[in-house]
Order: sequence, then structure tokens, then C-alpha cells
Amino acid sequence: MTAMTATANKLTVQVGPITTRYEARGSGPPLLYLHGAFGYASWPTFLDALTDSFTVYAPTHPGFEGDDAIDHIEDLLDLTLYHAELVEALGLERPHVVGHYNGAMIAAEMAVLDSDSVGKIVLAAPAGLWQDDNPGLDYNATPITEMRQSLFARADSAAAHSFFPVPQDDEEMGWQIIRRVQSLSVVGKFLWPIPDKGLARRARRIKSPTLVVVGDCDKVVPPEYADVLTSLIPSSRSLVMEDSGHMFPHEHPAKFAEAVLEFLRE
Amino acid sequence: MKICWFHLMPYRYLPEDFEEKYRSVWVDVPSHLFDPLKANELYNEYLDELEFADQTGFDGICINEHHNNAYGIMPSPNITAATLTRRTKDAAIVVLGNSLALYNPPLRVAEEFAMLDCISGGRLVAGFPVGTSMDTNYAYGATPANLREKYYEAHDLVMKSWTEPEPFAFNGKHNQIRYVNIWPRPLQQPHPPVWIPGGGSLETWEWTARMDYVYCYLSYFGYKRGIQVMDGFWKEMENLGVDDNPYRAGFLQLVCVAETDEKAKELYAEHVDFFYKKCLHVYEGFAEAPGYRTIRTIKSGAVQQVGASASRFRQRLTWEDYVDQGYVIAGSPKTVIENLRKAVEGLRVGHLMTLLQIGSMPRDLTMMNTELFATQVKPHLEDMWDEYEDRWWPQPVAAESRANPAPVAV
Repeated sequence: MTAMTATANKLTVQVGPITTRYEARGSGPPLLYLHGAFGYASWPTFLDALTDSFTVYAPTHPGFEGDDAIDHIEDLLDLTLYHAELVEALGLERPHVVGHYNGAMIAAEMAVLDSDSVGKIVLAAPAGLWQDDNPGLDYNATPITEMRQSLFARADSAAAHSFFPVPQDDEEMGWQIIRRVQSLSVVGKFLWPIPDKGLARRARRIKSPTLVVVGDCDKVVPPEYADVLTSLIPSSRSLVMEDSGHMFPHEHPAKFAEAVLEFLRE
Repeated sequence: MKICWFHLMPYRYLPEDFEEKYRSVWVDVPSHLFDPLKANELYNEYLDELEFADQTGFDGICINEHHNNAYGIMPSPNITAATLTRRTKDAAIVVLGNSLALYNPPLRVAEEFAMLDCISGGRLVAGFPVGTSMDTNYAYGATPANLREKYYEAHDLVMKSWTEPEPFAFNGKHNQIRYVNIWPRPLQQPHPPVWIPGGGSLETWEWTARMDYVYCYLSYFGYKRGIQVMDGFWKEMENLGVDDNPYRAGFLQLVCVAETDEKAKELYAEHVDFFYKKCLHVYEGFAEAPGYRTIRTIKSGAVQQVGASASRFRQRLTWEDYVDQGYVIAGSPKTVIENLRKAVEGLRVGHLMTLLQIGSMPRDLTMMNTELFATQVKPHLEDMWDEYEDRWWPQPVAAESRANPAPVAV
């Protein structure tokens, strides 16, 4: 594995018909980070703390930047296979996979399909489960102006504002709307209208050591879902982040990175 | 020109404090507000009104499809249309329409439309809306990302099922049918005229032009705003090298006719208010699922009709505002004729759809509005666009050779 410099990379890798953009930084064994649905950032700050121990690969989900690559991925099986191919195309040997929300569901599905192809997996606020009496927020029906309050435990924090800034003018508002539509329509292709696509049925096949992390104030993925997953995945444990909304990897980057590192070193 | 009578079928017993107590008239409006006994009355009253429109000489009667919706209690327009085939004689039955992507397989739509066309003797207009985001994505769970793709595929399947006389196999992405072979076929050949209701998306304009269908802009905000959108439509037709036959287009307009302008306000103001303040009270979060509109259409600035900012804006409007801004064309027959001629010319539409039952408007008032329009307004508009041919109007069997409902007397 070649060591990557600490400067930003805007690399591309070809996965079948899809040109995938990604960043890679750090040195050491490979770690793949699959981002979540909201306020997509190409290199979230918590990844910095992982680069001393790992070479971190952070791809952009097809479609998130308005590209039509998503047209090549029709369903959950396509999506899982695309990520399996991405690992091959990047030349990664059993990378650890850290995923947030939809990214976490993909990480879990990759391990369902072939646990030998990945190392350990960290599922942060994972999508994929559903309880009728504890359904989680319908973020697809949440006005854009309420997203910050809905996704962060502390909506006034700098982190919350950096993901969802108060728009200064109509143009800025317009771009926020477009970014929201681009990302949520892509995520919705696989999760609409209820984010349960059978993971609970398949999770028992996950052989990879698994850490499930949830936020105690996450409105999107109720923290109670952690117990459901750990009861299904044989080698797993869970961690509840305190004072944390759905965006805890960004709300508490140091604490989250520390938890990930501790788990990966075990 | 052709003038149609459009019914939304609003539930007109919403509580006084509806908009304070409930966040939305659509999607999650609780059904305990719906009283089925009242609906027994309402449905029959509304069907009477549609039948009256036929009797008073409207060219067409229009109905549509909504789900989880208190201002449109017509989840199945085909059921409504079925009753109308037997109880009306001359009017075109304009079903605007069936949201194709919601039906699996969409052949059900092909079959039902064909039945309606046969029973009515060829009076059907087949409307194929994509369907609003509230209806399709939120109420029926359709995935926004591939809704349009599904819609286009369903359309292709329906059209082929109508026009291909031999059984065939259809291997689509969303529909796989080994034996497509619908019975009955539609009476109108090769198929009933197709009208596409839409909200101003560029892709729909292009597609409608390519398919040579009618585009219907179903706005609730009147001709003054509508003209901006239809200007864009006609410019796009010109860019695409399509002629400017006004019958390519339809438009919905709220109309209130009375003896005098003052009388119109007295009779209709509260019902129009009910419509704009209660019927269009839609929670902002449901206005549009992410992915329902394409990025291209969003960037083109097409305005949403519902949602919080639209609702807040309308809460301040008065009768005078509705009339001045053209939401409603209201007044004496003379006033209405003048404004409607202006509207029809400005919009350049050959198919005018009038909304004459509005909000909480009761039966008698609706009948009066309908009769006044039919006798004192319609005759003064009919000559418009005479120089153009309407190639998108039903071609029924001649009245004298058409089957008549003949119940056996007991």
C-alpha cells in the first residue's frame, strides 16, 4: 500500500461504467469511509484522526454531485456489488469499512454478501431497520429550514452551522435546495419510503467484527435500533454517543474517531 | 373552443379551525375527519353536478385522482367516470387522469379506460398525469428517483396494449408481462385522445410535444400567473418546431358568475376563501419529495403551488385580491366574458376547464353558477379559435347509433 500525502486528493477510479471520485489520505492498512445522506462533505474532519493509523479512502456516493452515474445502479444488490467492485478497483485488501447512515447500511450489506472481503465494520447511525412504534423522523418530509434542528443535538453549534448554514440570499438557498434534492433523491432510490430493505433478515450472515454506534438524541435512527442490530450480528457490540444527534460523527469528531480507533485496535 | 366543467370533489365539512389544528389537508389529514354518511350525500351531490354540466351543454366533464386528500375525495376517477358514462349523453368524459406509475401492472389503466370508452360510445379523454408528489411519493410510497422513468414505461406499455392487435410480450424494467393482450380495446381508434396534466416541468413539455398530446396546466392560481407559464410552454413549442394550435393546451380556471359583480362577492366569497385557506393548506414538508422534480426543472424556477410559504401568503388574501390577481374570474356575465376572453387569448388555450364548484360551495349555488355560465357566458366564448382544428377531442359514435342505457322497468 502506498502512503498518501496529507494534502487533499481529488482522485477518480473507474468502477464499470461509473467514474467514482474519492479522496485518500494517511498511511497504514486501508479504511473505507462511506458517507451519510445529509450535508455531504468530501473529507469530514473526524477522518483526520484516523490517518495516522490507516490509509483512509473517502469516495463520493454516485449521484451526490449531480452526476447521472446513479442511473447505472438500480437496486440494493447493484449498490452492494458496486461497492464490492469499488474495493477491488481501489486495490484494497480487506479494508475496514466505516459508514454513516446509508453508508453504514452499505457497509453491513457488503459484509452480508462477503464478510471475507472486508475487515471490521463500524456502523454509525445505520439505516436499514424499522420499528412501527419507533419509526424515526421522516426527513424526506422535513422542511429544509428544520434540518439543522432535526439532525444535531445542538443546533446552534459551529458544526451544525457549518453543515446547514443560514442562507444569506435566495441564490444560496437555491443551492442548498439543489444539494438536498441531489443527495436525498439518490439515498431515496434505495431507502424510500421506509428504510427497511431486509437487513434484519440478512444481518446474521455478518461475520466481521462490528461496532454499532448511535447517538442518544438521534431523531433519524432511534438509539434503540443498536440493540436490534447487535442481537443479530454475532460478533458485535454497540456504543451510545452522548449529547449526540444523527450527525454525531461531525458533531463530536474527536470522540467518534477515538471510538473507531479503539475498536479497530482491539 | 371547448369548455369543460371540472370537479375536484372537496370534502366541504372541514372544521372551522382546520388550518390551525391540522398541519395538512393532504397526506396525513386524519380520516376521522371524514364522515361516510356525509360522503353518501356529497358523492351523489357532486355526481349530480357533473351530470348537470352535461345537461347544460358543457363540452366535457373533467375529473381527477388524488389520495389522502380532503379537497379531492376521488382516489379513483374511473369509478366516477363509470357512473357518468351511463348518466350523461353528450359531454366528453375527461379523466385527468390516472397516475400511471402507481398501478402495477399499468395495464389495469389500459383496461379500465378501454371499458369507459366502450361504455360511453367513444367519449373518453385519457389523461395521464405523473401525479403530484403528495399523491405518488407520500401517499402511495412511490420512489421519487424513478417515478418518471416508471411513468414513461407504463405509458409505452398502455399505448402499445391499445394499438397492437396481437398478444405480445413486454420486457420492461418495471413491468414484465409475458402476455399483453387487453380485452376490451378502446372504441376510439387508434386510441382515445391523450391529455397530460402537468405543473410546468420542461421535460413534460418536450415529451408532450413529441408525442403530440394535449398539455393541461392545472393551476389553482388563475390566468394572470398562468400566462407566464404558458408563455414558456408556447416558446418551447416554437423551439421544438411544433405548431401553435391552441388546442394543444388546456387550462383550469376558477369562475364565479352572478347577476352583478357585487352579488358575486356576496354569494361566493366564503367558499373561495374555504378553498384557498383550507383546501390548499398543505404542510411544507409534503410539497415535494426530494427527486420528484428534476434538477433541471428546479433550476428553471418552476414554482410550487403548495407548501408553507404559499399557504402563509394566501392566508392574507381577500376576495378583492383573488379577483384582482386573477385567481378567480368572478362577477356579472359581462365581467366574466370579458376576463375569460382575455385569459383564453393570453394563455392561448383551446381547452378551457372551469372550476364552478369551489371549496365549500353547496349544491344550489353550484347549479346556479353552472347554469349562468352555460346560458350567459359560454355562448360568447365558443367562437374562439374557430379557425383551428381540435385534433385532440373525442370522436364518439354518432348519437343516433350509440347504445342508450335502457334499464328494465319493473
